[in-house]
Amino acid sequence: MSHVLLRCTDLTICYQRRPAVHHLNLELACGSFVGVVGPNGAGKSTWLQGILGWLPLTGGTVTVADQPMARSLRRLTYLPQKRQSDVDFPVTVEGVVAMGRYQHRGLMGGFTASDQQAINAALAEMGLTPLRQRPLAQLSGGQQQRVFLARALATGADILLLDEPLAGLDAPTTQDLLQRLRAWATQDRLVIAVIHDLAAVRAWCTHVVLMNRHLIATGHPAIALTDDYLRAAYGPTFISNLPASAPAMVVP
Amino acid sequence: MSDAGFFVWLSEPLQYRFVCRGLGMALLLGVSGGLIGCVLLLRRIVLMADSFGHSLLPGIGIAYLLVGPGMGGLFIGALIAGLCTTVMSGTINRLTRLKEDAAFGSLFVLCFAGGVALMSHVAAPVDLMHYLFGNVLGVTANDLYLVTAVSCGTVIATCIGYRALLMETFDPQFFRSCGGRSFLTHLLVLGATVLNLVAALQAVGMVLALGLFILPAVTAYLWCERFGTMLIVAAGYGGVAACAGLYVSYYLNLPSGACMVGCLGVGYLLSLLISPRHGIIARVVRSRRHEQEDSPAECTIR
Repeated sequence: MSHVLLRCTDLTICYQRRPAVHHLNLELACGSFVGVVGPNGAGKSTWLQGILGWLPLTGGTVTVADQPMARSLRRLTYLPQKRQSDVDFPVTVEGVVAMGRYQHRGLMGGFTASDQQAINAALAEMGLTPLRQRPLAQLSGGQQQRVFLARALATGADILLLDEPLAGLDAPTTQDLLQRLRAWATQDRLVIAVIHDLAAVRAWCTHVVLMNRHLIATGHPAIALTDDYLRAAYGPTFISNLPASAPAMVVP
Repeated sequence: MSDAGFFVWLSEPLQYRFVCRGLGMALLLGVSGGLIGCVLLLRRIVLMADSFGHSLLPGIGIAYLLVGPGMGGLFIGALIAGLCTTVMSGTINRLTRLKEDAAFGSLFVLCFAGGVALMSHVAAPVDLMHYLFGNVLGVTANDLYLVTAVSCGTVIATCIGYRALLMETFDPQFFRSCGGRSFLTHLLVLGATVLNLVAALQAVGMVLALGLFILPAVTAYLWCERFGTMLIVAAGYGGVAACAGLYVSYYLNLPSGACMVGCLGVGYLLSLLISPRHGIIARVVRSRRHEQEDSPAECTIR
């Protein structure tokens, strides 16, 4: 269950010879909900894109279940920070979720019963079944985010890379999504999400990666999100609003 | 007009071979232009495609100089000019602080100026007018073959690559994360745009070519809620309205390109008004109703 799924060894990624992420050594286990935390410009998005193979690695390796990254692309799915997609696009909710299955069927292959099942399951999981025929443009921001997460789920990937999935969402929607992401992780997946809300990370994540170009701390939130580590990441004047000695909230 | 009268009205121009060719050209260009237009519209690169069209002129001028008039040579000249513009604007975008639209915009006026100078030098002013405004009734059989090839190629490529096109247009980053060749798809779209622009030059000319692309697409966009339906509606409407424009041109003795684009525009203007979901009338009626009912909750999905 909790075997290492994603391993980064001495990972360095540079932009024009300036390291955005350097010497990152990490092992992330299946079943974890990992919160990636750090200031703006800390290389969080760069790291995720490095995992995807979109940016050339200056050094180091990324492996998925001890296989080279390039062979395991289908095991990953990615939800970008700022989607380039136009929400006024003529597409229905079900149409967006169905895109998650295209990679399994190629350009022309027809959907099988298992594809339809995956789509239905993803829609049901995100509570979108009643909205499946609605145009995407008619949905609220939170509902649209749920549609994109359902698409990620429908891909069947077991590693989900989510870049700020909670940006711009209200408190109840945030709470709801955190709950779902945590539940996904327990279903034999590895969920890696960039999240800026430290209280949310502490309350919901099972694992934290605190970074500022290099790894500062990793482990259980209670261990990795101490004031010392947070100041090392955000600067010496940073005052976290987290109660220093409070244990991580127990989530059922 | 009685049924028989309408039939005569429809069939009378068909006794002329040049009208038949023109109609074939209008139908083909309307269909493939509608398809391309949808992608350009949804990727928000319509105006970039317009500037693209203008930047083809120097290529046409040089080809005219080298091989004389004849669509094959001009086609290749325009294609090379299109590729050069793409590469140059890409380079400017990468090496300077200018963004892609600014790079394209500044290049296209330069290219267009060079092209106008070149064309006035190598060709009679009539020829320049011809490439600026086109004349669908002057097409030869060879022109028609070329347009048939481009148009059929566009339709077939759209059918085969539908999923890639949808993903690339909707969410290129997700497409990429699924192992899709986002950049290649984008290049193919630009390539198809150039081919269709060049194909449309003869019929409607450079200045109006964009009308064949954008008007069917915006009309379909006002009616459709699915990408596939939008493609079909745009292609169908593009083909029918372009042919209708040619009839108008024949009977009213007006320039063919302007009539084709004008006919496409009539449907667009009507759609702006009466589209049931996105039209102006529907919006006004909806907001009136909301004001009367005073129930803002109506707007949200429960």
